[in-house]
Amino acid sequence: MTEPAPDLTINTDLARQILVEFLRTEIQRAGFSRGVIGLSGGVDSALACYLAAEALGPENVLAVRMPYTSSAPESYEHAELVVRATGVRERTLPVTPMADALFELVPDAGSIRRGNVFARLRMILLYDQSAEFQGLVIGTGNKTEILLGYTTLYGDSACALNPLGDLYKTQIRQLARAMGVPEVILAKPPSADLWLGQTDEGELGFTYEQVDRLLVLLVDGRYSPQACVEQGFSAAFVEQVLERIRRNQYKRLPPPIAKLSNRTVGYDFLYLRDWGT
Amino acid sequence: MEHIHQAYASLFTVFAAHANRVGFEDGLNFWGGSTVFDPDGRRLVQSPYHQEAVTLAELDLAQLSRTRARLPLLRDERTALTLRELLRIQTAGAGLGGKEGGHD
Repeated sequence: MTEPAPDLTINTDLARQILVEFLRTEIQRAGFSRGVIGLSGGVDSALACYLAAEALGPENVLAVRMPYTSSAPESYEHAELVVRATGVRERTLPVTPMADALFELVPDAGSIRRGNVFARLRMILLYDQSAEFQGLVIGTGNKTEILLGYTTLYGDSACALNPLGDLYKTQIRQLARAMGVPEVILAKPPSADLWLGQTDEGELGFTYEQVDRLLVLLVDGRYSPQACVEQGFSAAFVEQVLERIRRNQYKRLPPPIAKLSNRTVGYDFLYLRDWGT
Repeated sequence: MEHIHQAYASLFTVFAAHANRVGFEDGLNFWGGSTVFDPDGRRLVQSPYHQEAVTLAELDLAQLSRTRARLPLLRDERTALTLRELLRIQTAGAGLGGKEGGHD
């Protein structure tokens, strides 16, 4: 008898209930009642916005749009759909003047560097809004991109808490559909929108559907690489994905501290995040 | 989780009560749903999932003797044999660095 391989189907009602309660509990525990989200027009931040509006009340959620001149116009329109549907507060702060000033200093920066600059400048804007609005920054990174390291350190990955980080991209789509995120947002190809025509799947070299089916075996099912090959994945694909996960481990952890004393933060000074709350 | 507690209750012919937490601890979600199973493995009560609750169960202690008469697993257990085997495994394990038949 063979045990069925783990699959990606989720109970969307239960996931919604847990994530809404997670946002409410963790934000209140930190002494806040509000949240700030960078709203790109994509499915991840749209879903985070729906969840936050339900958890905190729309008046306690600030969605910040931070377009650059080359951002796709439909991104802006799709973000507008989310704002209207959820009733959250909205602010648009173009990242253009900051980014252009920086690119003048480093005119030879290629697309990867420029992409990272956008992600980090948006982080600065978001954290500044967080201070003004007195709300915590709600992260929108999903499990697929966290595992693959398809994220900018201290950029889009920077947040106070993340309701979506344990959902694969294909599961994000399931939950987003169940919560009523507009179909036009669900249907378009995922893109970091850092340059014209960029798509995640084009850049990664595989589709989210393919890689999620492999990740759920490797990570959640704890299948060995060989067992994944036996499930029908090519050895080269399994190796490529494993290598990406391994190479990007540093993005998932705080930097190591050189130990000198007998009690060092991160090694022997260990308390839970909700220490004393 | 419920299957495990049901199995404990049936296997040891005892009442098995499991109290689970509810809510978030360091971001980690606990789902409630506490249970009490009787010695036949029947679920007497269950708390709601994801909700705080006080759940009471009345235990009919006579059920212990009724079940054990039908299914004398505890009576038949050879505790001396079990103990001897455990000691043998412990001694063998100490000699072999605990690697015998081990998985990681």
